[in-house]
Amino acid sequence: MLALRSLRNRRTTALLTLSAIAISVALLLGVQKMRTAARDGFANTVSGVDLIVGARSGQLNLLLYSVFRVGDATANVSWSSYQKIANHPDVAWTIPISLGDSHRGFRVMGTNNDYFEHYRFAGDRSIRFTSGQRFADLYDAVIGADVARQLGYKLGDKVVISHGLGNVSFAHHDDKPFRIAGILERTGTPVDRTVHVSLEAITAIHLDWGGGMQAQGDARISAEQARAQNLTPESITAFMVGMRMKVMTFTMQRAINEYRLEPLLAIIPGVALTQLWNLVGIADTALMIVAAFVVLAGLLGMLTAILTSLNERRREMAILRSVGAQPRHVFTMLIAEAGLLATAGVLAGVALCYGLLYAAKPLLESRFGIFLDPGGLTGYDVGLLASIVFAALLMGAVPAWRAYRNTLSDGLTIRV
Amino acid sequence: MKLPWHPTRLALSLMLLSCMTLAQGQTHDHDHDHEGESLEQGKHVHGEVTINVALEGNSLAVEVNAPALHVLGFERAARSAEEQRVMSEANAWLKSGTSIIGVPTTARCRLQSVEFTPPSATAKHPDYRASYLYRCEQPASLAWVELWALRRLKGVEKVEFTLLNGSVQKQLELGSAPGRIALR
Repeated sequence: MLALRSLRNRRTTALLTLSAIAISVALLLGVQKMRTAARDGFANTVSGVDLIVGARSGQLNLLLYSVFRVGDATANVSWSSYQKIANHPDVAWTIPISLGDSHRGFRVMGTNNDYFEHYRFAGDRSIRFTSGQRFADLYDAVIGADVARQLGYKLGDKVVISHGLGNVSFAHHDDKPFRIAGILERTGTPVDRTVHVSLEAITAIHLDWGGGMQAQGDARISAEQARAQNLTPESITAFMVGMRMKVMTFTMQRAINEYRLEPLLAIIPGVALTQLWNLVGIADTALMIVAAFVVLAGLLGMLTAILTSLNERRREMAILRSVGAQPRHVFTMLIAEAGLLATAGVLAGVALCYGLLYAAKPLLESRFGIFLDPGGLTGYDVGLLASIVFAALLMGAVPAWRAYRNTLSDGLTIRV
Repeated sequence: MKLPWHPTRLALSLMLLSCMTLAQGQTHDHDHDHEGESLEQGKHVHGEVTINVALEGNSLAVEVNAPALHVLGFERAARSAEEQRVMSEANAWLKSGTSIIGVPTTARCRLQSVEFTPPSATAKHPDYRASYLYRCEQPASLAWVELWALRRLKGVEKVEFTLLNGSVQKQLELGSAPGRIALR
């Protein structure tokens, strides 16, 4: 009580100290929340898929090119192997993936309509359309939210796909332009940065290509002529598998990994994602360390404020002593002051953090695709906050000890 | 000349660090992936066993993969009557499906089927592989598993444990006596 009154007497300094602690706590908690959200978001890039199958390479390589559209496949999967696995009685559905072309820096992915049906992210969210619909025609394209926003595309626009990757490609499939048939809602996953076309369309635009360039003159096949051709691809880059019974996943994974006709690799996406996160997760630990140091700086600020106030408060202490306060009362009062400041700071920080998170939530979702669920305080969070208050109490002991010593030696008249 | 402590450099050294630890892990694993062996061979790492658990509806599927060394204590054809006995006991145990895993009794799980074939005698690095399918009357009570199989395996240092349960797909690296593992 006494500590509170004494604090009220110095409310400007106290408020400043309190807000320094509050801001640092809000930052720490915010980093902690964002870090959880980032990890979950990362793990939620793909869900509902039991296996991803590609040419035999590494687990991370396959995950990177099939889900994150980073890097390239070492080899393709033959159409016959794909059909064999897709028609297996234990397999419920498959999503074929054919990569290799691009559109103004965005990757083009050949797939089929099962993709829109079965692909899941962030738990059980399915892909939804902001406008338009799935592939209806051979030359239909469905674009992700980032593609639409950055390139300013709308339904019905014509787009030309470039051969190969890279922002500036010199070989274009300009004789077979695509019409934008659908625009997807933001997912916060690499889907946003992908141009989707049908598997048949990928075959169609490469019908008259060989050796990295298009045939000339009569050998050319026009967009309309291509429709009449057999557009079954010879191979695809990878495919995703949904099992009829999840308990059969391991058996199927082994069967694919031991497939004799072609060296294939089947991975469980969640397992590969965890491995990848273990590699890239170092960054978020670094962020957490920075935030912890900011809190430390806030607490040191508090310590400084209390210490500097001690000289001014010698008179206060002396008066307290004269009315019968014991030196230990002074000691306790100063510890209580530190504790009060820190507790209030932590509480204000928590309020600030949650306020900001709720305010920023819609923006984070629509602009960055980060699905943030502020949720409650986890046990870990509470532990973290409690340790801040504890650290403050420990720090409070320093000025408390000083004041204790002073009160023993000082009389009522203080020579400063 | 002293180089400034640039962020990219820090990131680079962190990356190098993580690569180094990875490489160390690999050499330590003592991997026997020799060239010339048939492609169908799964990985065979001494010190490591793989246990997979998948849960869906009433079904609980468990898979155990272990190098013969950890099942038998040796990794070649049995030479003595004693080794012969060890081998037939191990086969009988894995075929029976008892003492493979422990789950809460309230889940009331019954062994439904076992898939087990003893490793071929000619394999250079024989592996034991067994799959079990349990049917549980109260799958909601399946909160944890205990890996009882590890009590009978010898010289295991590391368990690669993969869990599939609904949308959960995770892999844990466990020691040789991991205790109870939560299934949620």
